[in-house]
Amino acid sequence: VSGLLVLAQIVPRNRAGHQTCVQRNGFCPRWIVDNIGNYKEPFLRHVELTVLAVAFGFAIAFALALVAHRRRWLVGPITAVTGILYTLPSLAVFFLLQPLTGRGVTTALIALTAYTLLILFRNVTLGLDNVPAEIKDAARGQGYSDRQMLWHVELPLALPEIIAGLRIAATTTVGLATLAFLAGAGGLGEPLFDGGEGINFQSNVVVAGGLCVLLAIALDLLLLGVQRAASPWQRARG
Amino acid sequence: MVLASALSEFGDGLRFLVQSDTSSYGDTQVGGPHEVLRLLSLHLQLSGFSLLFAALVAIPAGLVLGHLGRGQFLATSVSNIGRAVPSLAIIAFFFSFLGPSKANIILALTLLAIPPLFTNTYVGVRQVDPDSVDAARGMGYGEGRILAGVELPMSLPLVFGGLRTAAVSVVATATIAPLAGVESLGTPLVARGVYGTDRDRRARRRRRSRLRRPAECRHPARAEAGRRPAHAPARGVSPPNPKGPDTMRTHMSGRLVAAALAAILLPAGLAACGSSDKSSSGTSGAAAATTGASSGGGQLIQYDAANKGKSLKIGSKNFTESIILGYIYGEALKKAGYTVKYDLNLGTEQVATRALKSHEIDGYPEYTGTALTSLLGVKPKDVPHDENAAYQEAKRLYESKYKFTALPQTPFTDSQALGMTAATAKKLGNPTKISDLKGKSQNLTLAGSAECFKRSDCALGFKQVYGLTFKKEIPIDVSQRHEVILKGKADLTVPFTTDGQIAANKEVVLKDDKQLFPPYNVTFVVRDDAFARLGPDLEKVVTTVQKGLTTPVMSELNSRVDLDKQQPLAVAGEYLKATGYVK
Repeated sequence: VSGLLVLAQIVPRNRAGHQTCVQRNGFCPRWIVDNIGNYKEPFLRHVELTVLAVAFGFAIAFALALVAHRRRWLVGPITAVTGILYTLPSLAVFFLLQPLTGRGVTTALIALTAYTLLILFRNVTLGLDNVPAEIKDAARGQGYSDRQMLWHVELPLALPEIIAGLRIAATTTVGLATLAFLAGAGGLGEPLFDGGEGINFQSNVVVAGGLCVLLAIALDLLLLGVQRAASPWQRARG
Repeated sequence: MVLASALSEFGDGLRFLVQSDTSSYGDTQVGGPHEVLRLLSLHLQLSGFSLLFAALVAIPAGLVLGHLGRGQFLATSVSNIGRAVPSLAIIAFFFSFLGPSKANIILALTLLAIPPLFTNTYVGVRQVDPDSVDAARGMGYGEGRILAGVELPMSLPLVFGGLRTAAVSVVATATIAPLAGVESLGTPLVARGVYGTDRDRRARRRRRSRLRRPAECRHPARAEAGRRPAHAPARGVSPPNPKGPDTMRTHMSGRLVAAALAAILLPAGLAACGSSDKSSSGTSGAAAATTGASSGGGQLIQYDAANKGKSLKIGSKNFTESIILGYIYGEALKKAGYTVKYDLNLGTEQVATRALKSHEIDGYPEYTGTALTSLLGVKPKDVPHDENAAYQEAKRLYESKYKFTALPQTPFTDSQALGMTAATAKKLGNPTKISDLKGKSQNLTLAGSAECFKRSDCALGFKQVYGLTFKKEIPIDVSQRHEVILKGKADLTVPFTTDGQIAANKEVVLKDDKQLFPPYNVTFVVRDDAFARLGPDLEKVVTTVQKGLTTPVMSELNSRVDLDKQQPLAVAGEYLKATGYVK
């Protein structure tokens, strides 16, 4: 044991008495300024999880909606199945998937994608259903085929509902992705619940939580902008 | 195969709902109607009060604003913001600024419930046919009567739609309340350790007498997985049984399935009404004799070209100390020429062991006491109190049960203790060991995690081993273990011996003179095939670099992360430089 004393040692800091803002787990603007860089990686991962989950979810839900658009009887069953996926508590799903798919981004993405399906499917279907019959008749009268009708008439007119669905899906996914760390996928939930003082440290909660909120709002506004740009007739109508 | 295993988990899960079992660490009953109903009632309390408060605020506000035709902007803003703000962020925010309490969770959930209720009520009133309102006015109805007698009834379908949306999201979100230290149906998911049971052990137990010797020692409170929990936790798993570690997982997962089932039933029931809502349901000593392998301390770690191209992935458990250790070993191995990747913050020892077994990682730091009781099936009373003996036992069992190599252990031990403020110690006549509290403890309050009070190696052990009773037992979240005595909410607490706060707060920690707690030195555990592949330098580097890790040093390193908020990687680097292992 005495051999250890020969070792160069790390010098303990004197922390008795006055505690700094950081040691008190307080809200410390300076610490935030100095450490904001540490949040870059979790933030980017959070963006990645959200964007990929919404993109996969949209691809699946869109395809399902187009199929169900032709075969109406499918709407009920698809809504029921995606509805069940949507209602499962996220915490449970991140754990339940692990014995099957291991830890990591894949597991998180499966869960997050599953959550977006109901919202996206419902909104695409709703959008297509809400296209006025007269317009479809008019298009039919001009000799539009089913395919032309879908891509040139129905989908453009359904765009507001489709994008509304994407906005809901994106903001919901930003929230759910805070639990992705439980599946080993990182994201802003990781610093928030880092196993150390994470959730007790106000500065950390403000930054990590704040970035979640900002990300959600940014994606929401971005999609709103896309909708405005893609459907100029709506703007004109006011 | 997958289907069969999933079904068996569900079977185990269903049993959890209807029948209580002895938790694998043997000190408490988990599951069964009693516990499920208790958690259900807590869950319903959280959800019910939140919905009630939200309804009291949002419905009148929506009605009045809708009636007046004002606040269109407010209504859309509230609904957009409500949708965009992640529920977990709200809960974290309330936890860090207001502390863990039921009231805070209820407040956070109330905020989640307000947007859909307000928006739907507002829209509901706005879309009432103006002709009906005019007709009522013509009949001499006053504004209040129009609101109560015409607009409210006509907007009820939308108001209830909003209520349903709010209910689904509140009930789903209440599942994550345990992450912030408040019990709900999410508890069995988050505190996985406590909720694991072991059929084989249970069976053995039934066969044998019920007598249990008092000196059962394990490592309690850090169990609440997901948070500042630590080594010992999850007794989720059953130890050595002939079927091997694979079946362990099944049992644990069964609990998870059960908890998930229970948690799902509620929102599913709500949603089954066919809601058409779109809102977010938005939803954690001396080094061992074998250390001879390395030469003198403080020696610079040498680069060896033979290690070039050999890569390994290092894991860790989900708390500060384990993460720092992962980085210390990893950074040192990098200097020796290895290619090192990290997958730190894995979770409990079960999660880490599974990751190690399935080649997701190649090694991680584990505590000898935890490994013996929680992974290797040694009964707490059989754990050797000598740290070298404990290490040798762990090494032997790791090899025979898992084909893992347990490298020599660290000098420091991270055990639990009984702690108090200097002022309390003075008042009690400066006790030095736990036995000194005999005759005084009945006037003192003890704070500990809910689990601690159920375990024989924690508060229960104080009674069984030392014969101490306390005036009151105050259940707290593990993260509050130092604050609770600093703020005078309790006289005694159960800290970890390497907690940096002990020195910083000048807390007095009593000596465990009757050896309630087993040794908790750290051993770096490596899978045998990885051990063979990585060559002799692995063990050499690990044993060299941990020589400086005495209890005060480890405690200082923890302080730098927990108190000074430095990054664990940076702190590991500081250690390696200060001790001269790395230039």
